[in-house]
Amino acid sequence: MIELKNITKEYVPNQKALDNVSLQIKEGELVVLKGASGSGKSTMLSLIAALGKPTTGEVVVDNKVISKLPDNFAALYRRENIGFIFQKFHLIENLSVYENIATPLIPSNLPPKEFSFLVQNAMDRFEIAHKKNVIVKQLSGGEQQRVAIARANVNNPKIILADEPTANLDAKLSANFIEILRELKKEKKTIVIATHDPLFFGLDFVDREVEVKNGVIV
Amino acid sequence: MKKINFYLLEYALDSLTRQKRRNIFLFSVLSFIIFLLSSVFFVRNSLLYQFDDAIGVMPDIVVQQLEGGRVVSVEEDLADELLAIAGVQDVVGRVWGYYHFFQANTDFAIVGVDEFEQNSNPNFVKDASKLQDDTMFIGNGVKKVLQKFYYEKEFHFLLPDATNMRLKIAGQLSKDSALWSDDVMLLTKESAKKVLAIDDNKVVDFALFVANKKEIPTIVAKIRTLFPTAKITTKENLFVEYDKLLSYRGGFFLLLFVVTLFTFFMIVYDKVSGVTSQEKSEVGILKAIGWRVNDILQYKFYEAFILSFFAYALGVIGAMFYVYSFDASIIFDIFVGSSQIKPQIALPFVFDAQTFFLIFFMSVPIYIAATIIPTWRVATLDVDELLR
Repeated sequence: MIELKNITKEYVPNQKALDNVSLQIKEGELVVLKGASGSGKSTMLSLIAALGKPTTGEVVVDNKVISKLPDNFAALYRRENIGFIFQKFHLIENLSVYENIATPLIPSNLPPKEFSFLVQNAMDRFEIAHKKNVIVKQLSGGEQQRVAIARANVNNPKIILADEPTANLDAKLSANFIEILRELKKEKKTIVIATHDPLFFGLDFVDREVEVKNGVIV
Repeated sequence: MKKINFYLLEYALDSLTRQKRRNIFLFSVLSFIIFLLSSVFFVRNSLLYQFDDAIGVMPDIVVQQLEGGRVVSVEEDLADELLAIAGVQDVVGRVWGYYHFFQANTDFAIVGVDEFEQNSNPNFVKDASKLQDDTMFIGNGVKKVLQKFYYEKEFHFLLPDATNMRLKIAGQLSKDSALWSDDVMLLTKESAKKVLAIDDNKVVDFALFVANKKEIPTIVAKIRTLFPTAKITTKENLFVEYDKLLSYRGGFFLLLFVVTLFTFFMIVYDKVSGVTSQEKSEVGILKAIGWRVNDILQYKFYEAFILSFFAYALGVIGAMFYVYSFDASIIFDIFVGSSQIKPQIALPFVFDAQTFFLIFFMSVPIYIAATIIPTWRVATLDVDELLR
């Protein structure tokens, strides 16, 4: 379970990106955080992923206060628990599809068979195996997103976080992403999506929609 | 024991190829500097080795007469007085000087030897019996100069009284001693005295050989009492002077290299400390997907080590070929350039582990540190900050 307890986040002193926000997300739940750009949705995702630390308050995941983890432990927490799909995908643009998807596995130093199996599995599952050796900057936006999703899932994480996942996609590709989400939801993964795309509103498999405005939950 | 993470190593290798241009530039500059530095060290080591080798056949003490600060010829009979000093094993009156070959505007070193001296150093002249009053042996450098002016079989000396003296070229001096003999014309003492206008009963200086080397200071003191105005040079003095000369030239070069190295590392440091936005973003992405700071530093270590170690290997191997196969032209001229005839010698290979370690520690760890420190500074920032 994910719990945000009285979170305040200031990137610049006295300018609150989040203001005393509290939120609980149950295991296996799919939550959509909706709101305009700059409302604080992405900040909530980054705090859940321990990419940054709150100014005040605590983020608790599975009864562990992850907001106070030292840098190296926070990285381990992400490696073992989090799959993050970024708005701009944040792929390493000169690496191939295979290499990008494999990157999260590198520090684990897995046996070669297991390593290749996990990468191949992620590529097959998100239908990008046919572009295995293509450098990602040569891919279309939709293909890049598939690589980003495959990379986020290659470790089989419990929590999937997606920040504006359809911001760079056309309607057809956005619809494809919705289908992928549906699949992930069936696997009982905890999913949190930050978006202002109406496509995500009112979906039958979404458990909850949470509106964020000016750094507070409305 | 911790297992080596070959995936990280592979990632580092990939990373090097991803930034091809930048890395090729850094690799080339680093290799070139290591090559220059190694070449200077190798040349210096070889010359010192040759000098050590040659000093074995040198006299223990050389006595010269000075007048107005210039070396002047001395009566040959004084040899008997020197030989009478207790501890002196042998005394040889030497005849040597320089002949200016005006057509090439260069000087040849004239050395006169007698039969005994020819036999005392058989490596110097292959067939010493051929050295007669109408013949001479010449060094390789002299031969090249003479050939340019069609003196293939004989040479005509222009004597101080404006007459000519013709000597046949009987052979060439051994190439093994080229550092010392390249600009030498080896004549009999009689012929040399004619060329150098030295009176029959005089010599240029005396070479003294001492059986017990510990007695040298005592003998020097005795010579000074007998000949207060003489200039006395011991083998040890000669070695110190030579070492100073090499150190001065080597030191001069090293100073230049230190400046070059410093400049290079300033460029490297500046380049890496101002980590590019692409690199910064990569560090952010890696952290975001679960890489620890240690993993990132390890990857950067591999990357820097591979680049700098191969640059080191290429630089050192290149320098070995340059020095030992191509005789280090240019650098060698700077070291032994005092003569107008540049000796053409094969520098002997000297393996000095200290030199290899010194060059290694002056390059590889410094480059690694210049890569790792700025990366560490970036990697300890919040991911949020890196990806924003």
